[in-house]
Amino acid sequence: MSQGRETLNQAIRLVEREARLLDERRFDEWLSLFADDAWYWMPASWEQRSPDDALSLLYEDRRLLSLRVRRLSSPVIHVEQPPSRTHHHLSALAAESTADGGIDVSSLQLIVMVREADQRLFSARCVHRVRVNQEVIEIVSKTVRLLDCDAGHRGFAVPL
Amino acid sequence: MPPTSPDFTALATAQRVHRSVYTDPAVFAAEQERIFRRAWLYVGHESQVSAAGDWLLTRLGPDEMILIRGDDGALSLLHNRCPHRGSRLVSGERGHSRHLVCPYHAWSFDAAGALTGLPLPEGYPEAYLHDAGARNVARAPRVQSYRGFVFASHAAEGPSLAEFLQGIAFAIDNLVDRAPAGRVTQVGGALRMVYRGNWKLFMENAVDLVHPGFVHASAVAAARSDRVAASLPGVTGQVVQMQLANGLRPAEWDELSIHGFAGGHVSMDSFYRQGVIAAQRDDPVFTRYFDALAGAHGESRAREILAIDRFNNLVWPNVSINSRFQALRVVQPLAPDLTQVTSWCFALDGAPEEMTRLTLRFLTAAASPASLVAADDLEVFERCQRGFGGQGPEWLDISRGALRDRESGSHWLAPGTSEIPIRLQFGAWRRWMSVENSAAS
Repeated sequence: MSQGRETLNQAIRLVEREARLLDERRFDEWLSLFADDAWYWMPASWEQRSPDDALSLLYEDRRLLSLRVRRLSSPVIHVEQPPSRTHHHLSALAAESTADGGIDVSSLQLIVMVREADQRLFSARCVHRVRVNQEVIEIVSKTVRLLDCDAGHRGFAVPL
Repeated sequence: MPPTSPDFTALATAQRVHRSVYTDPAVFAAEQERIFRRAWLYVGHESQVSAAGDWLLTRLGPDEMILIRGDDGALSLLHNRCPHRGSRLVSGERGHSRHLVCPYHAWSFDAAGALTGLPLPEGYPEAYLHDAGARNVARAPRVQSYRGFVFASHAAEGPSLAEFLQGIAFAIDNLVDRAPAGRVTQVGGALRMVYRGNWKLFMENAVDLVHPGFVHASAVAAARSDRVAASLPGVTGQVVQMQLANGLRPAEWDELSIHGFAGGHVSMDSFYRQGVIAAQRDDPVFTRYFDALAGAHGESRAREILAIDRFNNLVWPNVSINSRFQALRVVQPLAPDLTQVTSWCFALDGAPEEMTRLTLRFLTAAASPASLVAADDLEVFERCQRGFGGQGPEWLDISRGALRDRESGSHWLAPGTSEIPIRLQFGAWRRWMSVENSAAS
């Protein structure tokens, strides 16, 4: 079933909100946008089609994401002392209905991260799979395909 | 290195090391020449170049090299550099080609690096083109596979690979022995992380069993706050168990043994005791795997292989092997204060597919720069490197636990909290860095 224009726009606004919550470090609210069965995937190679057949930079279900978020509020998370700041610059947002009744929101994201005056850039093509069920709209999966996914990266703890 | 070059060996004693071993460009340059251009270094796995013509771009110390298999099945390790005008011959991670053709003037070479063709040969005297030393692609003089793991050395002479691996070869044996078919295959791409710190920091930390409770405290606390997660089946439970294990008490770490060897190699006992990451498991996948292994080796030999339960096994100077989790990491020094660590995963041929998936997930959780564990390690390496600068104390202590080191033959045994891994690594460092030794080679 194809979604109406208004629902597709709702999905796009959800993705914009998701990015905004990350930038504002409202991680608990960020996590609440994800469905119980949601997963987050950041491939480590350009051709990678599945998180099951190769190493990934991140592949976490909601349980592990919640552990990641809980860790971010710890005073002894060294890689976040002092905390990093991010800006998610979103462009080319497009939503389309999927065959199974969901919505895929595709976006280009330029993520600028600063910590201790040290600036890093991540450029990504993101795909958010969104599910709309009655009044509930939630993220079922988020795939973050970094342009330099196979490069050596320095450590980071916040979800991109 | 001329014999008049500086003697760096006084910078590391059995009790302390001078901070310049981590920061000084002169020390770094000497390490590249005396260690990374002479020692045996891991360059790749045979399964990455299984067919004639397969090549893999890799490094041997500071040099970019091509590991390539010839028509006769032999492996060569060639400098990625055309002998004519110096252009890189290949680019990209890997490929397949019977001949290497330089993009600049189309000089072509076979898999052994021998010149096979060039435009306008009449422009050169006949003898000139037959000077193999100058006209062929330069190659590493020594390349040798140990049970599929390919090592090479820039030095034509020196200890044999078997001598070099003395004590630590069992880690490779155990990884390969775990495969019912007696062979492993590199799978699943690679993970790369970078830190602004010296290469030795990673190797020292890999068997530092006092740091986990502190460096990884935030992940331990987060895992402890979710009482259910650790018992979840599959990968999620495994990753949570991983975090919890880092929270062992010092006395528990001390119960683990560290095994050290004169060559600078170190092996530590495993510390995973629960769930699917424990050595003894009771699940259908493991049962199928055990049956396959017992089918190949007999039940008692299979038990013997699985009873070897070590975690990180360090092959000095720059490799860490985890046989149980089918992983190998290569530590590549890029500058005194810049290092890249690449992690590779291996499938056990003849074992259930699910085991490969589990180990891929384990390594994703453990070796990604975004890992709940590794990100904090990398941060601490960078803090150390920054700490080494400035006007603070010049000497760094490495003596923890020295009173309890036990030596028998060339094998050391120490409790888990000992800094013996650092002492042994610097022991090897001193030997390879000594002027006398480098002049002799």
